[in-house]
Amino acid sequence: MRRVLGAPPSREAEFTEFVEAASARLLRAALVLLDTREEAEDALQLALLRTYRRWDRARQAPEAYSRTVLVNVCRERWRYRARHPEVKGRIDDASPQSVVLSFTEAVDRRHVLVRVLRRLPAVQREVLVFRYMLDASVADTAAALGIAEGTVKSAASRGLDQLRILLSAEYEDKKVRRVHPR
Amino acid sequence: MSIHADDEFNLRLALDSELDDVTPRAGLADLVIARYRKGRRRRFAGVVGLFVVFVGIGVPAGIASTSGRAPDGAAGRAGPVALRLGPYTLTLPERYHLSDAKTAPCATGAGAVPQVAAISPGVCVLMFFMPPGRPERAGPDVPSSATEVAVGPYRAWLAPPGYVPSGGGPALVGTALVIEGDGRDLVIGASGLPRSALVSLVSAGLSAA
Repeated sequence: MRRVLGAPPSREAEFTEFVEAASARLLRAALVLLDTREEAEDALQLALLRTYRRWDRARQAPEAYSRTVLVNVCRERWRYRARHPEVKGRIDDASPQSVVLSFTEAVDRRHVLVRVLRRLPAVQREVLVFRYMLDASVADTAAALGIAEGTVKSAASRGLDQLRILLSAEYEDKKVRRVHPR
Repeated sequence: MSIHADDEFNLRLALDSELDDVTPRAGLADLVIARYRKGRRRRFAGVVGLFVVFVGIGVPAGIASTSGRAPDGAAGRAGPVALRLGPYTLTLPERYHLSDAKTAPCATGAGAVPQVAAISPGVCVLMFFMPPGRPERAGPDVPSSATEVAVGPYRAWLAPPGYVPSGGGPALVGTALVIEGDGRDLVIGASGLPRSALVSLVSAGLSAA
């Protein structure tokens, strides 16, 4: 009965195998692109759902397809937030008034590198995520993000420079706090 | 481990190390597949609902638009068609449908006389009462060239071509059969129908209350 009503078993099996292999990397990428763990998990689920809907097309290169969908979902979230500023926004990690709202956010905040990556401009952040988290080539990154290959290279270079500067500042700040605790 | 992004390799290692504890929930694929099925069921239900609504609205509207307009609102009714005038009812086969007597192909153009009409492809049947004859003449105003015929229990005659009833009646189009009644005669005219066919049609379908 299930075979008659549902998708063919091979389709489900293929998709399940793909999710088990790729979902961790995609979730980590979403975590960098978005602000909270909850948002990242929602975005991942939506991206996988859209991938499964078009599985006949996506099965040729499911990882490339799903990461393109994921970045589109993340961009939709950014646009939604820009249109609805009243919705709870991102936590400004640099602000002394920042409030930890949940346990998962507390865990997120422990991720220093992720926090610093989130401060980068959107294009640099997307390029670094694609190149160094999702292991996409320059050509694949350019195709997925809809930008030129030259832009991918320059954004990666500037993003790394910026990251180095921000991380150095972060560590300097920590050293100072350690020597002179408040 | 240092998380300084000195080069691409270090950045990759640092990210892997830092996000090592970030893993998706168990059974994520099953959750996505279940969500997909739920959405598909909803879409299917929506499509079926829309189809039902459109059929519910479109079919009656389509039937009404393809049927002729009937003065008594009998448009679109299946089965034999009844042409009623006074006590008389002429039952016609299913292929006929009621029509506006003023715009029917066999219309006489006399608006003052109550008339009813029915049409089928190529044929038009019109029914009206003969205006009363001149008072000085007793009996029906039968022209000399008329042909008397038996139509069931009624006395009738076929009017000659171009016959115009006395008393200012309308000019008849095509074939006309006059049924003699008590006080007033009934005229059944037809275009596109031979005289014998008209007689057969009226013999089979005419009744009086």
